[in-house]
Amino acid sequence: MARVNLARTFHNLAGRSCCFALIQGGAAAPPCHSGCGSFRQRYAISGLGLLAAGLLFLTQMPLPAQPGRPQELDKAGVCSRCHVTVALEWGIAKHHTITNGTRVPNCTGCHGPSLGHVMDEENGIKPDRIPRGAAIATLCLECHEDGCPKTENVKDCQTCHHPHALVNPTFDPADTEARAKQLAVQQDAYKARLAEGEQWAQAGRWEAARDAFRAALKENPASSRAQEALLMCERRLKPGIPGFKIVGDQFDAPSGLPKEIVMDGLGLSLVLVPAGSFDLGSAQHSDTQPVHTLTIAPFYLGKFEMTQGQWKALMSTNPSFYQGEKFPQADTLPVEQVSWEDCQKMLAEINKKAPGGGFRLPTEAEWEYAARAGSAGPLPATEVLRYAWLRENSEPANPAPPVRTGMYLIGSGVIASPHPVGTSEPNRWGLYDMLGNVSEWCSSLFQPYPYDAGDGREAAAGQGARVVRGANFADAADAADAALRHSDRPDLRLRWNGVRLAFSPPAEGQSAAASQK
Amino acid sequence: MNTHFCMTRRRFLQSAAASLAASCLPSPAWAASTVAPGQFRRGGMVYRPLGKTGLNVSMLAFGSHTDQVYKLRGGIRNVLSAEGQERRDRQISKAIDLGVNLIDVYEHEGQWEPLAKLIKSKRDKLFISGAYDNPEFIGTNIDRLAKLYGGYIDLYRIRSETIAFNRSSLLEQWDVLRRAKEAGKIRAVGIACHMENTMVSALQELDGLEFLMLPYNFIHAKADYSQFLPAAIERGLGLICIKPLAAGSVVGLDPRMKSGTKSENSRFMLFNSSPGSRAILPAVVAELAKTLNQLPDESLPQAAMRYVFSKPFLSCAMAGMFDDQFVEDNHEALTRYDEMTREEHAALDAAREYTRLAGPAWLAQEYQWLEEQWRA
Repeated sequence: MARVNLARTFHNLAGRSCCFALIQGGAAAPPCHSGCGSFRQRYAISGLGLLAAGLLFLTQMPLPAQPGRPQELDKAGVCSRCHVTVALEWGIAKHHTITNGTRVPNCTGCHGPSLGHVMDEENGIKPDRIPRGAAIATLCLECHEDGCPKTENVKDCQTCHHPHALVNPTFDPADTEARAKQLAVQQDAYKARLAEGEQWAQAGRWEAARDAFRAALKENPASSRAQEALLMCERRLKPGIPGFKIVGDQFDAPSGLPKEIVMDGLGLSLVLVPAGSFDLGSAQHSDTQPVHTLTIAPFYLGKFEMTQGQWKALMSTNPSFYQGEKFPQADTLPVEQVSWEDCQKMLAEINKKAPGGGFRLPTEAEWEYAARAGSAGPLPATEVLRYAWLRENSEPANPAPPVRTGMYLIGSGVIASPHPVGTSEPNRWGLYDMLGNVSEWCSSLFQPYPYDAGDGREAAAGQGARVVRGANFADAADAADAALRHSDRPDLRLRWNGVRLAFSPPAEGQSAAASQK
Repeated sequence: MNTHFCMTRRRFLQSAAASLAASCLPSPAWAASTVAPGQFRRGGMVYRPLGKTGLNVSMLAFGSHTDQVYKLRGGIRNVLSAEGQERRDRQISKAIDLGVNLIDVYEHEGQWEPLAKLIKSKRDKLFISGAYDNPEFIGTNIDRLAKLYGGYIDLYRIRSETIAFNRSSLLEQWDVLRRAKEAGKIRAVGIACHMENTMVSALQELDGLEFLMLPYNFIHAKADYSQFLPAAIERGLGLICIKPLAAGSVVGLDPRMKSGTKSENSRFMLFNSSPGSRAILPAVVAELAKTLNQLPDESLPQAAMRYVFSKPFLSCAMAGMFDDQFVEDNHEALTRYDEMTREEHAALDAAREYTRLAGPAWLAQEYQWLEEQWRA
C-alpha cells in the first residue's frame, strides 16, 4: 500500500512538471502507456527511485515560466514523458535545434522509433537500439564527419562527452586563442597529409602513402583514421600472413588485408569479413531483443565449416556420427558431435601450427554479422534452401512409413543427414553453409542482449551454456534466421553441432615478429 | 451423483477449524496453504500460473485419452467412431464453457485434426498441449502440430520412463524442442514421466525445462516426492498433475457411482464389478462405505480431485473425461475450493487402505507396474 502511495505521490509531483505536455493542453501527445492509473500501479515497485529522481529534478532544474516550457521536451516528443531528465540533458547542447538533412539528432535518431518500448506498460521491451561503445561514435560521425572538432578523434566520443548532454565537462571555455590557432594549423597540416596519403593509396603507391599517413599521424597522434590508414599501407607493403597463402589478388581497401587466405598444410580456407556496423538481434524472437547496433572489426572466418578430415588431421580422432561405410565422403562432411570443450582442445592444437596463433571461435556478434552478410532480415523460406542444407532438402524423398509398436510410438527418427561442405551457394561474402548443414559453436556465453564483449560473456573460463548459431540439416527452413540464438552446455555433443573457425588478423608488429621466427 | 453443494453451518465451522489447525501446524512453506501464488478465480474456474511460463492455466485441464468403447481399431492411429467423436467434442465444448483452457491432445489417439477443427474460433483463448508420440523426427512432429494450431503449440513435451535424462537420443530431442521454442513454434517446453528419479534427473540435465507432468493422486502421492518436489518448486517449475484419479481407477472404488459412469477401463471397477472383493476384505469395504456415507453431497472421485486441487504446488490437474457427468463433477470439485474436511480425509484414507490391501489389481493392467513406484 505504501508503495502505491509513493508512486502516486511521484506521479502527482511529476504531473506538474514531467507530464506538462498533457496538462498544458498542447497538441495531442502520442500514446505512452495506456493510462495513468495503470502507470501508478505497475510502476509502484520503483516508486522510491522514481520519487527520488522526480524530487531531484524538481529541486535542481528550474521550472519554466508559464506558459512556456523547455523546447527540448517538445522536441523529444513522447520520450520526454518518462525520460524527462535525459531530454533536458539533451537540450543542453542545443542539438534539438539542429537538423542535417534527413538526419535529426534526436531520441529516435539514435534509438530508433522504439514503438514497442513506447507502448509497453511492463517496460519489458527495450528501445530498438541502445548504441554502446564504438557504435556511439558511428552515430556522431554521421554529422561530424571529420571526427571531434577539437581532437579529430573518431572513436570513443563518450570518453570525453556526456552521451546525452554531449558537452565535454573537461573543456575549458577560456581556452586561449593561441592554442586554438595552433590547433588549427596542426589540423590543416593533418588534413593535407591525410588527403595526400589517400591519393597515393588510390594510385597503389603504398610507400608514399605510408609516409604521408605517418606525417599525418605526427600532426594528430590521436587520429584513429590515420592509424588505420597507416596499418593498411603496411599490410599492403607486406601482404603475407605467416603460415597462410593468399588466394587471388583481392584486398580489402580499408584494412589492406587479403580477402581470402588458406592455411598451409591443413587446406583451411578463410574469408575476410570486412569491418562494419550492423543491427544485432531481431524483434521477431524473445531472446534476440533489443536490437542494437554493433561495430565489428575485420576478422577472418572459415569459408566452410570445419570438416571431419581437417579435425582428424589435427586431433587424430573423428567424433562424428555421420561416418563409416554409409558415408564414403565423410572427410568432406562437416565435423559434428563435438562439444564446445572439444573445440577448445582443437583450437589449442591448431594454434600450435599457426605462427602467432590467432585461431578462435567467432563471437556470436561476429557470427551473426557474417551470416547476414549485409542483409537486414531473414531470407524467404523458399530462397534459403539455395544457401543452406536444411530438413527440407536433406531428408530422403521417400522415407519408410512409421510402424505402430505397442501403445506409444517413440523413436528418434532423424533421417536427414549433413552434406559435404561447400555444396550449396555461398552468401554475399563468400561464406558457405552459414545457415544450414550443421549448427556452429560460438565463443560467447549465452547471456541476454544487449551484447557487450566486455561484460564477461567472452571469458573462456566463464561458466554456463555457450552460444550455438545457425540452423542445421535437422531444422526446418523457417528456422534459418541469422538472428536466432541457441545455446548448449559446453560439454554436450550433438550430431548437428559443428564448428567454423575464426582467425584474428595479426597487427603489423605481430606479423613481422612471426615472419622472423 | 449429487451435483450441487451447499455450505452448511457445520461444514463452514469444520473448514474454519481445519484452516486454523493447519495454520498452527509446522509444515514446509510450499505446503502451508491451499492457495497458490498468483492464483485467481474467473467465474466458476480457478486459474494458476504454470511455473514461470507466463501462462495461467485452469486448474482442471482436459486430458488426451479417449474412450476405448468408441475406438475403431486398425491403422497406425486410433480413430473414434462418429458417435464417440461427437461425444468427445461435446465434452470438450462443455469443459471450455466451464472455463477449462488447457486441452491435451495425442496424435496416436487420432485427435489432432478433430480438436484443431473444434477450437479454431477460440484458438487464442486456449492452451493446447501436445506430446511427442510418433516415430517421425520430433522436429517434423512439432512443425506439423504447430501448423494445425495456428503456427504454434502452447505446451509440448517429451516422455521418458528411463532412469536418467542423459541418453543422447533424449538430449537430442530436448535440443530440438528448445530450438522450436526459440523459433516461436512452442510457448513452453516440458516432459512427462512417472518416476521420481527420472524427474530429479530431468531437473539436472534439461536446460530450460519449464513444466513437468507427474502422476499425483491421494493414493500415489509418493510421500509427496520428497526428493523432487522441493527442488522443482524452488526452480519455479510448472507442475501438471496427471492421473489425478489413477487413470480412472478411483471411480471404481465408489459404490455410489451412477450406472453408465465408468473409469477409463471399466473392467477395473472392483467395487462395482467384482463383488468377490467385498467378501475378501469385508471390514475394509465396510469402513469405506461408512466413511463415504459421511459425504452425502460428494463422490469419492470428487474428494480425490479436491485432494489434488488443494495442493498449491500443482498448477492444474489433467483428467481424462469420457462422460459429460465427469466434466461437471470434476468442475464442481473446484467450486468447493476450500480446505478439505475431516470426512473427506477419512474417506480417502479408507479408500487408500482398501487399495493397499487389495493389491495392484485395482489398477488397470498397464498401470499396475507403477503401484510400487507410486505408492506413498
